Amino acid sequence: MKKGILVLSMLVALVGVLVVPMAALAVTTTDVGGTMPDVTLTLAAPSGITLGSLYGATGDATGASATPGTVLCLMNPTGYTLKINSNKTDGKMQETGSGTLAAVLRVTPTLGDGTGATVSPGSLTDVTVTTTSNQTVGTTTASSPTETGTNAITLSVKQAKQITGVPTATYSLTLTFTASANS
Amino acid sequence: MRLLKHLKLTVALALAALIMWALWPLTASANPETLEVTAPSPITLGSLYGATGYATGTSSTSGTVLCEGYANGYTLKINSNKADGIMQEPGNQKLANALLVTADLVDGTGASATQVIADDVTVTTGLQEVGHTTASSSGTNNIALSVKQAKQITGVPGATYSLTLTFTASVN
Repeated sequence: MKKGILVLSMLVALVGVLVVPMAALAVTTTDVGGTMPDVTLTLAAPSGITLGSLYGATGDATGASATPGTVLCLMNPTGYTLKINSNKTDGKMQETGSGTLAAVLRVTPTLGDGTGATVSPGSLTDVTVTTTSNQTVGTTTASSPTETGTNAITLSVKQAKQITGVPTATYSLTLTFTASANS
Repeated sequence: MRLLKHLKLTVALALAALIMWALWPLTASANPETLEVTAPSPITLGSLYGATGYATGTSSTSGTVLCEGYANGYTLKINSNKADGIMQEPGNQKLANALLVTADLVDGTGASATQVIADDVTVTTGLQEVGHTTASSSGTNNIALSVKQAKQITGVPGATYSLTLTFTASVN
């Protein structure tokens, strides 16, 4: 009997002692979350160039894009690289329906700073764009999230050699721009 | 003699327990002791690597600490469920980014709060003090919480990341 009272009284005392500190602690949680965005790389070509005359009376024909192209790169902290090539070997325009070489074009594309990352220009000044070179127009080295956005591609073309083709025949060349995110 | 000794001890303990048991509700009734903490609302960072800068977020609703009946005030602490406050991609242990958490204990109807975490602290799994009170008055203080991304992302595009922050209030 007395042992029972002793044990009971000790239990009651223990509970009484423990209740106070247990009531003096409060815990709660909150969550923070987000989603990793996708890398966005969008490329638009400069507007087409029509050369007035491949062999003008006053000199070599020249032309420039009225509207520059653009490169939009988002979410890639290492930036991107822009390259260019043509659909004709050695950048030579060919007369339609004929294998005759017409003219060699000198193409000067430039990747300019915009709202995007600072650009490191390539070495393309009056170079012949070919199908094999896939030459670098410029690169960006974005080092922070703020260095993303749109850069401009300006393009100019000039005739480099005299024409040997047929008068009034048309000639064309397609230039391809490729932007790839740096790894 | 020994039986009498045991009997006295038992009676004394029983009386002490009964007095404690009897007085506790009376004391609580006369001077209720309450310590409750509610969390700030969750924060969803729009984009962990935004186009215009590091992602930031603030709880739309503050948390609260209600403290009554404790003359020495209370202390509020915070920790996270991830070491170094680093968020991890679920199912992939690749580290995503570190967050800087700013948690402030703000004066309210309760005691004047002393802020400890003032700005830009990386919350870790260890308990860090947000602030404490020392006043004898009672009432509610607020918990303001904001988060910002501290490093660039190296995780997988499209993956989601999360971190749980725990607030603990304890009386001084």
